[in-house]
Amino acid sequence: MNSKLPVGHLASLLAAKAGISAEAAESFVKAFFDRIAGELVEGHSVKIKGLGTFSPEGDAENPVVFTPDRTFADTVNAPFALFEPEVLADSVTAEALDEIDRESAAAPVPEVVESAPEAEAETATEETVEAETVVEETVAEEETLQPDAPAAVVPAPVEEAQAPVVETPRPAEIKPEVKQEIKSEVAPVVKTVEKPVEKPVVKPAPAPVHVSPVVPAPIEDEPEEYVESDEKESRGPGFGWGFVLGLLVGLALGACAVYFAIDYIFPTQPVIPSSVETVMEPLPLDSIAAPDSGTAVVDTVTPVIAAAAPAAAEPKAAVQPAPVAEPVTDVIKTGYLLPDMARKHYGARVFWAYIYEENKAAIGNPNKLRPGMKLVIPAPEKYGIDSRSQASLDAADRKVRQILSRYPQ
Amino acid sequence: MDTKTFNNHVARQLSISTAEVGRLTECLGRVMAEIGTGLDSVAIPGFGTFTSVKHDERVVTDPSTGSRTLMPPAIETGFITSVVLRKKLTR
Repeated sequence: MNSKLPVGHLASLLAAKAGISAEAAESFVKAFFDRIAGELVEGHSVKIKGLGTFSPEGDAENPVVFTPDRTFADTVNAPFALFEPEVLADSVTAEALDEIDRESAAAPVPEVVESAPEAEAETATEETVEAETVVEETVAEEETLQPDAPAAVVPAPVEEAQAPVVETPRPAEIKPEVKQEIKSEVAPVVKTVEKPVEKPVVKPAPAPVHVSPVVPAPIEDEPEEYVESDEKESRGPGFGWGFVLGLLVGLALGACAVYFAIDYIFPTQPVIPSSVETVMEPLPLDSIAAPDSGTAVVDTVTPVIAAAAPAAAEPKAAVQPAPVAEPVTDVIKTGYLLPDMARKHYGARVFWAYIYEENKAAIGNPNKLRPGMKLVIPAPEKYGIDSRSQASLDAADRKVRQILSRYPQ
Repeated sequence: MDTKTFNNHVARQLSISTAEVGRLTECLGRVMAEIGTGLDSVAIPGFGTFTSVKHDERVVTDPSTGSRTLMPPAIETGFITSVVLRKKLTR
């Protein structure tokens, strides 16, 4: 109630009503009003059956005058179709109706309005006879009990004004006596005695006055307001759930992106350098010629031999490939890093530079090792590693410095 | 412009039958009436806003005869022209 609906909402309502798609309804609504606007701009009036007439004859403030169609106006006023203009009798005095107005303003008539007719309907069948018999007595009693006797004054004009209204005030006014009988059936509805009395009084209330003070806010509207507000509130959680759902989806996508980024930067499968790379390393020819040298050395040297003496190398390569030895590997652990591996395999910590050199594609920065990395331990002969040789230790030390110059700690 | 001519124009614009336009127009009128009954407003961009105002019951006095009549409550549908259309009309 009292909310401004956008054209999209209007289109959706039209789509539901006419059984067409929302897009078609929206295009129709736009074309409909665009055409009216076009005709108005050209200075023509447009008469739409079932809606009204638009004419460009208004003032500067509101140049278009809309006159609702009779059918349209009747449909809009359908809730008040039961009411009809009622001529007030001359006997309805202005003082009496003023008094009624004051009472109705002082004591609001809330929920009882809708329930009052039910109460009347229920009680009417059984107790009308009893009530009528008692009415005269109770009216007399009220007059004596209440010096103001506003309620007693009211019924008189009411009876003249509207026939149906006359019956409702009576059982209510009689309440002191009829109350006990009515309570059994109307108990949930008529909690306070005053309410039923005022409801019938409300209708004739504004009667005598010229400038009508107007009856206090029509009570029928209030429930509708509550219904509307409930609908609006119900939209809130929907939006909230949608927001939460979107947030969760966004977090999930972000987590996936971070996972793949980490996986891309630090691949879980370290790249093991192929033996071909080692071929490029300068090797002493002595180790090539020695028949008892390790199998790994023989493999790596094979292409070199092929280049030098193909005829002699071919039979060797054909004989040797079968016993390819598995490379020695070790795994990084917490507190067990490259120097510890070098000490374990080569007898000196400084030789970790060769382990790094062998696995630098997988390691990257030697200062950032991750536990669980599987590293290949090169054969000592490959880099001339000898922990008893000072020259080998010095060479390893230079290698360490080179590495640390690239990755300072 | 009467309803029939208007429907023909809209039907030609939307490439649908005139009967369909008439049916949709009738449905649109009913929808807008329901909205007006709920005292809601409908804003049409570039055209205007349909508003509904409820008038409470009141007493009207005939100055010539002096008779007083209790008028029932009523909902009045109004229309406020949008700024865009107003500028087009006043240009």
